[in-house]
Amino acid sequence: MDKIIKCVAFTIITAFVISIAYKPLALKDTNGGESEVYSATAEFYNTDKDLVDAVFLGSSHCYNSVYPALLWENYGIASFDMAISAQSVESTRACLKEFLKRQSPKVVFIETYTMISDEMNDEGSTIRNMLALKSSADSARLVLESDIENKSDYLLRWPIVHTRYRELTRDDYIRYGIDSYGRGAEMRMGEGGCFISEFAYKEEITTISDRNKKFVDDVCALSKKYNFRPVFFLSPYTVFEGEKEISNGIKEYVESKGITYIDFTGMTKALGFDAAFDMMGDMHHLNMNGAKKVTLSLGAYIDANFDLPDHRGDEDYYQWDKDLELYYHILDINKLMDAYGTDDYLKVLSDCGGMKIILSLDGDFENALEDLAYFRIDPSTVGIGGKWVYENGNAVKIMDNLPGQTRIIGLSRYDAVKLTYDPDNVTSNVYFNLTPCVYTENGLNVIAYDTVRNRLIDVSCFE
Amino acid sequence: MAFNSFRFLIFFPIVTILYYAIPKKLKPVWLLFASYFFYMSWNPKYAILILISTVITYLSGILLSRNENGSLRKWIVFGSFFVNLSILFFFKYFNFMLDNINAALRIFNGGSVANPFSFILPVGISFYTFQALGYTVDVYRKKTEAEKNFINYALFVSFFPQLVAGPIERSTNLLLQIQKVTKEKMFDYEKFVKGFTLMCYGMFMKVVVADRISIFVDGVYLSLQSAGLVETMAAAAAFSIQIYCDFGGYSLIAIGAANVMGFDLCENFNAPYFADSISDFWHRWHISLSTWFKDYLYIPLGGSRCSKIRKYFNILVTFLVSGLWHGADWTYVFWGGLHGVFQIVGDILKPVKEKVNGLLKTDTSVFSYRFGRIAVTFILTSLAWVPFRASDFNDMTLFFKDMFTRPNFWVFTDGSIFNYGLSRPEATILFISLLVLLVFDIIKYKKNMTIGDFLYKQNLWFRWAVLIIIIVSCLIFGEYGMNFDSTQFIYFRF
Repeated sequence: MDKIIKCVAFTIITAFVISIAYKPLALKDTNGGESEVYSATAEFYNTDKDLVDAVFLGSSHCYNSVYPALLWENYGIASFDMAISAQSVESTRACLKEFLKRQSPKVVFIETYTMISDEMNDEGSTIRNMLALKSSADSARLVLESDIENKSDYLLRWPIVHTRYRELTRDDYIRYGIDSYGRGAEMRMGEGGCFISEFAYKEEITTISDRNKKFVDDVCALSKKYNFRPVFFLSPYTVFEGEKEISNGIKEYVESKGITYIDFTGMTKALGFDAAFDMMGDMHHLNMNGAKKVTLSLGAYIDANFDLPDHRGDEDYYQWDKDLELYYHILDINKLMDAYGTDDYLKVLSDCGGMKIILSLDGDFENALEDLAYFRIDPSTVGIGGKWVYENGNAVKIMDNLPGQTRIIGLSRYDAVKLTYDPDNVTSNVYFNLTPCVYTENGLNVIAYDTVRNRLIDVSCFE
Repeated sequence: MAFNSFRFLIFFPIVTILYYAIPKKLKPVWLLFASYFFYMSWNPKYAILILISTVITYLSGILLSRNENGSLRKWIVFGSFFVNLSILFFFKYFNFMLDNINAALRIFNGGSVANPFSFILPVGISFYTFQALGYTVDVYRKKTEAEKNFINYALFVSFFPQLVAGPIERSTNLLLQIQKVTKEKMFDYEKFVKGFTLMCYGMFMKVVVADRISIFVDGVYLSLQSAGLVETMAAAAAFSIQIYCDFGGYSLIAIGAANVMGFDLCENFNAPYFADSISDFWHRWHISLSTWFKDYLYIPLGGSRCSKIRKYFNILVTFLVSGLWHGADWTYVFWGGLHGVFQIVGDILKPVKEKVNGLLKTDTSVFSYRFGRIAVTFILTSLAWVPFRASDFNDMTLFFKDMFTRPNFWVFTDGSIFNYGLSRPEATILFISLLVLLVFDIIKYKKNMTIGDFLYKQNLWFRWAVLIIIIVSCLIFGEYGMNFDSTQFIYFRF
C-alpha cells in the first residue's frame, strides 16, 4: 500500500511540475503584429459565464474590423471578438462551440473572409488555431478532422510547444491585465493602406464549396440548438474578382437559409470609407478609423434588428468598461505617435493617461526649461536641474542634479529606470533597465512608459 | 515504434499493466504478442523473418538435445547457422556484395549487374539473429538445455525491450527468466523503480544529449569543404558522445523496460569513455556484442592461447567481422580493422611502454597517469569513429584532411563554431547535459552503480527531484516533435 501511495504521489507531483512548465511554453494566441500582449482566447477564458450577447468570429479581418469597446460605448452591447489569425472554417466552428460552452450569445456574427480565402492552411496558422483553444473534445475533433500530419503531436500539444523554450519572452511568463479585460479586438492604427474597389460591386456568383456549405449548415444547426441568430458579414478589404464571386455565392447560400449577409466590400461608399485613412498599411486590414465605421454600422444593425439589453452601468460588465478605457488609451498613444513638432508632442504626452513619464534635465538645459511647463513644473524652481516622475498630471521631483546620487524608479513589476547624476558622463544618467536613455547631453530627456500595457512607448529629447 | 515515440509511451504502460494483471499462464503469450506487435509496427512483413529464425533455431535446439552424435550435431549447428546467416546476408549484405561486384566490373569495363531486389533492411536483424545463433551454440556446447516450449523460446528471441538493438541476450540469462514467468511472483518494487529510473535517464541520454549533439555533428559533416581543425576535432569528440548516448541510452531504456516487467537484461555499457586502453574499451562498450564475438568467434579461432601471430590474426579477424556486423560498408570494416590494429599495436608496444615508464620513473598509480591513458584511449576511439560516421572514404579523407591541414583556432573567439546548427543557448543546454552525463558516468565508473541503483539508495525526496528534473528536461529540451527529423537510434540500422 505504501508503495502504491508513493507511485501515485510521484505521478501527481510530476504532473503538477509538468503543468507549471507548460504554462510559459503554451502557444499564446497573440494575433501577431504589435499586440504581443493580447490573446483573444485568454481574454475569452477570463470572462465570466453568460455575459456576452453578441460574438464575432473569423480571422484577422474580424478582430481588426469590429471593436466591442465601441459597441459597448454606443449601444451598451456586451460583445466579444472570438477571432484568431487565419482562422479556417473548421477553426471557426471549433471556436464557436468552445464559446457556446461558456456564453449564451443571442447573435453570432461570422466574418466570411475565412470562407473566401484558401490562405488559412499555412502551418503556423494551423498551429495557432488548433492550440489556442483549451483541450476538449472539440479541439481534438478539430485536429482529427484536419488533413495535417502528426495528429498525435497536436493532440498531445507538448511535441509542438516544447521547442518554444528557444523563443520564450517575458510575455510568456507574465500575464497582463489586458488578458482579463480585452474583448478580442486588436486596436491598431497604421495608415497608408490601399483599397481597390474595382470588383467590390461585381454581381457574378460562384457556387460555394461543399466545405463552406457544410460550415454554414453546421452554424445553422448550432443556432437551433443554442438558440442564437447567425449573421454572416464580410469586412471591407480589397476583394478580387474570384473572391467577390465566392462572397456572392456565400450570400446566396446563407440567404437561402434565411440568414442575413452583410457585404461591407460593396458598402464602402455608404460608410464614407477612405483607404488612406481607414486601412492599415496593407490591402486587407482596417485600422482604428476604419474599424470604427464598420463597428458603428454593425451596432446600428444590431440595434435595429435585435433586442439586446444595455448593460452599461452593470458591475458584472466591468471588463467592457476597462476595454473602452483601453480603446481611448490606445487612441492617445496613437495621437502621441502622430504628434508633429515639440509643442504638439509634449502637449499630447502630458495629457496622455496611463503613462509614467521620466523627465531628466541634463547638461546645459537652459533652452529646454520652458518645455517643463507642459508637465506643470515651474521653470523658476528647477535650480541646478534634476529628475522628475510625471504621472496623472502631477510631477514629483525625484532628485537634484547632485553628483553621487542614484535613484531607481519602478515602472512596473519588471521594468525600472535608474537615475544618476554624473556631469562628466551625462549619457549614463538615465537607464531603462539596462539601456542608456539619455539622447541629449544638454536639455530635457523624456522617457514615456505605458503603465497599462507595461511597455516603453518612447524616448525623446528636447534641447 | 521507437522508444522515443509517443506510441511507445502508450504501448509500454498498457503492456506492463496487463502483464501484471493477467494470470501467470498467459504472461508469456501476452509478452510474445506484444513483442511481435512492437516489431511489426516497423514493417509487418519482416516479422516472418524473426519467425523463420525462431523456428530454425528452436528446431535445431530440439534436435541437438535428442542427438549425441558429434558429427550430426555439427551438421545441425551448421544448418542453423547457414539458414540464419543466409537470411542476414541476403537482407543486409546482398546489395553491398553487388556494389562491390559492379565496382570490380567497372574497373575491367565489364558492365554491371542489375539488382533484382528492392527491400529495406529489417530492423534489428543482426541482433536477433546473433541472439538465436548464440542459443544454438549454447545448446550444442550443453551450456543450456534446449527449450521445449515454443512460446517461451519465441519470446526469448523476440522480447521487445531488446529486440531491435540489444543487449544481445544469452539463453543462460533471459531464457531462464522467461521459463520462471509462469511459476514465480514477478513484481519487484525495487526493480520496478530502478527500471523506471533507467528508462528516464536513457531517454535523457537519447533525446536531450544524443539528438542535440547530432545537430552539431551533422552540421560539420555537411560542411567538410569549409571546416577546419577545431570543428573536426570537436565533431569527432561529439560523435563519440552522440553514439554513446544514442546506443547507451537505448540500452538503458531496454534494460529499464525489462526491469519494470521484472526481467534482468545483461549490462551493455560500463562508462566506456573511462576506459584506459582499447582493450578495456571493448570490455565496457557494447558488452553483449563483445562477449558474443569473444565466445563464439575469437575463442573458437584460438583466442589468445596460441602464438602471438595467431593471436593478432584472431584479434584482427574478430574486429573486421565486428565492423562488418555493424554495417554493410567498407567504412565499418575499416573502423573494425582500426580497433583491431590499435589493440595489436598496443600489445606490441606494451614492453616498450613499460621500459619507458621505468626509465622516466613514471608513477603509474597516480591519477594523472590514469587520466592520460583515458584521454589517449578517448582520442583513439574518437578518431576511429570517423570512418564509422563518414558516409564514405572520401568523406573520411576530407575529414582528416580538414583536421590536420586547417588550423583555425579563431572559431572559438569569433563565434563561428556556433554556425554548425547549435546556437549558444542550445550549446549551453548541451554543456549542462554533458555535466549530468559525466556525473552519472563517474558514479558508474567509481562505484559500479547504475543511476537506478544509485538513486534508489538515496533519500526519497532526492530521488524524486532528480527523476522529475530528468523527465521535465526530456519533455522540454528533448529533440522530438513536429519538424524534428528523428535520427532514430543509430544502432537500429545494424
